[in-house]
Amino acid sequence: MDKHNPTEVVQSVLNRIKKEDIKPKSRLSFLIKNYSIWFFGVLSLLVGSLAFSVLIYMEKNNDWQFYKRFNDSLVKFIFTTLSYFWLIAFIIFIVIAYYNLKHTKKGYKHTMSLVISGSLTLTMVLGIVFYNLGISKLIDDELAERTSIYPRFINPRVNMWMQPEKGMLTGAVFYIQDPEVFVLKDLRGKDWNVNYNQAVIFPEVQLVEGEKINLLGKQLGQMLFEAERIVPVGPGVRFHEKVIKFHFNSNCPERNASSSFICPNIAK
Amino acid sequence: MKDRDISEKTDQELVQMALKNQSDFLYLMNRYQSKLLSYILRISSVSYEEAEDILQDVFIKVYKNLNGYDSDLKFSSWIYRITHNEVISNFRKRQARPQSYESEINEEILDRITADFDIEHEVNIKYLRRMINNVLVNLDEKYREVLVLRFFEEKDYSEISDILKKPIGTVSTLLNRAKKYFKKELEKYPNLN
Repeated sequence: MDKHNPTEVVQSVLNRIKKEDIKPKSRLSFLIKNYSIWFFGVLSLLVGSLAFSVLIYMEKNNDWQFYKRFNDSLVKFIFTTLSYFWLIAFIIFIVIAYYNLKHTKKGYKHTMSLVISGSLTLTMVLGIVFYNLGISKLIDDELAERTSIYPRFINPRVNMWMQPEKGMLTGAVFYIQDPEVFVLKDLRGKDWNVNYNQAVIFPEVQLVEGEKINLLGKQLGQMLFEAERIVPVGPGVRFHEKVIKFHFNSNCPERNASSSFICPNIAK
Repeated sequence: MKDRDISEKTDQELVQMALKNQSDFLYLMNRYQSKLLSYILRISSVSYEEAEDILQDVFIKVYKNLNGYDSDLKFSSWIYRITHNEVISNFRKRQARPQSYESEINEEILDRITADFDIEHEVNIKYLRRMINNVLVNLDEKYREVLVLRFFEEKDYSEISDILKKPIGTVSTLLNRAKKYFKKELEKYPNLN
């Protein structure tokens, strides 16, 4: 250490401070930085919780009882119908929350596993609360109505019901012809004659014009379908509403100004 | 101000003084420069001149960030943390370790090491010093830095945790592993035990 010349180092630092007019950063800038880290950490936890609540909503209404109609095995059904969009969103926001919490002033004191498990627990508990408050349905409805990527990325399951050849059909009751047959307008705007005299109608379904429904049954002809079960549309019902409203209106110009689904001319 | 008055002041008081009067930063620098220079040399293996350059950058950073110093933390932990980060960033910039520096190992450090590693003190002191240096220089960086902080800088686990920004449990694990490697390497030298 004999080479050490403390005065030189100290003096040159002082000279540099003066010469370059270096000033301590303001206290406010540190406060803003610290609060921003906390703000984004908490925000990520909240958004992660919302994503988790929608994930619960999607998975709970995943038509589990009909999985055999969609896939041969339950495992395959789980993988094909999993809400990857919300799962990925949930993971991304957990990672962002973890990053921010780890970068708070005392975040380093806690182990990675503790911060991640803590964030996961908090996010899941909040997600369950949000789900029970009905927020997840609101989010799904809003996205279904306002985003164009909804059927492709957010809820690809809406298209799964459009497989008449496999006995699955989705759309809305256009008009009821008689107690045995109604006309269904599917998501592509095509009209199907649906025979429903043998069908089990789920209690949540009210068979009236404009009602959005999923059908399980058999395709009998080109536009002819026999319904075995008539079930309500779960997540994505607003997407159905939007698409079918468009098709209804194109078939029924009188109704364009109205929000009603009923087309008086056709119904009569 | 007299030297005695300054030596009686706490780090926090010196921070406040430096914030009020730029030239008072001198007192903080005087208090830490020798320790930090040794620390830089021990953990980085840079040349003496480079260590002084790093130390200058450390002091500039400390001065710029004085308002960000959180008094929940020991000032020494904070300034060691900045130094540690500066050494790492310097190492990344250069991506090379041109030479190794022989750490100064005084009697006290030697006592601590021999006691902790169960080494007989009768071994030739000069030989022992050289061995310790050789082993340290060749040790993985993550192990070397905890050993240096523990045995050379006399930091406790909590301070090491604050300096390296790692949980205490991780510091403890690192230190145990480092000691194991260190001892294993030391045992390769003849006439030690």
